[in-house]
Amino acid sequence: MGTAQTIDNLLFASTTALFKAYGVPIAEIAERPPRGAHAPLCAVIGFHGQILAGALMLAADLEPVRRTRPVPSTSDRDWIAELANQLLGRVKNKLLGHGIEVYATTPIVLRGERIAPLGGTSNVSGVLFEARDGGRIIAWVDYEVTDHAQFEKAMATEVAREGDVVLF
Amino acid sequence: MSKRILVVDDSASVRQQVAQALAPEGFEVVEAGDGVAALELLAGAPDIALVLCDVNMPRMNGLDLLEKLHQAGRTAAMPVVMLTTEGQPALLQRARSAGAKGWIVKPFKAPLVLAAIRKLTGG
Repeated sequence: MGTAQTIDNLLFASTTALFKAYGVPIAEIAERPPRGAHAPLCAVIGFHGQILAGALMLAADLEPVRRTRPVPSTSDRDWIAELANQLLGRVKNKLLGHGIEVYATTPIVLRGERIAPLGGTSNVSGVLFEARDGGRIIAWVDYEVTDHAQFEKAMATEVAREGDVVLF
Repeated sequence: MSKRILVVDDSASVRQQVAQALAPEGFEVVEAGDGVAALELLAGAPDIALVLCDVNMPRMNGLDLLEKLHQAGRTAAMPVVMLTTEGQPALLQRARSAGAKGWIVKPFKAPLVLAAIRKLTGG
């Protein structure tokens, strides 16, 4: 499997699993978010490593983001930032299975509209989802790979999974 | 008297989520938004039973905070558990070497976190 397909799959699986973990089932409706897709709340988080670097963005309508909130009193901005952080965490931990280690920056939040990945460009993975109870979610990764061969070499690194508690 | 747990995370949502899980079980939760704020708080609140700490935070990250706590005499024995999206073995090893008592990967399961806190605080 090539680099782009690997990242596409990671992004799809990680986003689906993240929203499912918070009780909000989502389904893919387009492999690449169309121009003009409406998603007013966006969190962006950077990552860097020896062979892979870039940024991940999670953009969504307010309603599906609010339905995932475990604490209703928290702000939309704070919660989508944490969702992006947890989404990148899932992607990072899966990348470890390929021997790819990346480190994250802290997230930032933007409010806007009609945000979409650049069309016809390599090194951009994006998925448009729709929540079962309404609302759209866009996840995309814009990345650079310095060593595709190394990237594609799978490694069976044992990693801590979401929800794990390890006492030393 | 309820035991005080210091939750250090730059996400208010996570801090409140942890507080919501711990408060009904008799723990008092104190919050800090990053490592610097945690150190300031600890300087004036010595009766913390355990620190639950994120890794990626602005100003001072969780691993740097862990190392500072365990280098200082008064807080050297304070149990610290990391609560993070990170899972890299190198980071777990760094935390372990610096004296962390545990590592929890977000999103966390409240009953497992409670069990770990009870075990490390003796109730």
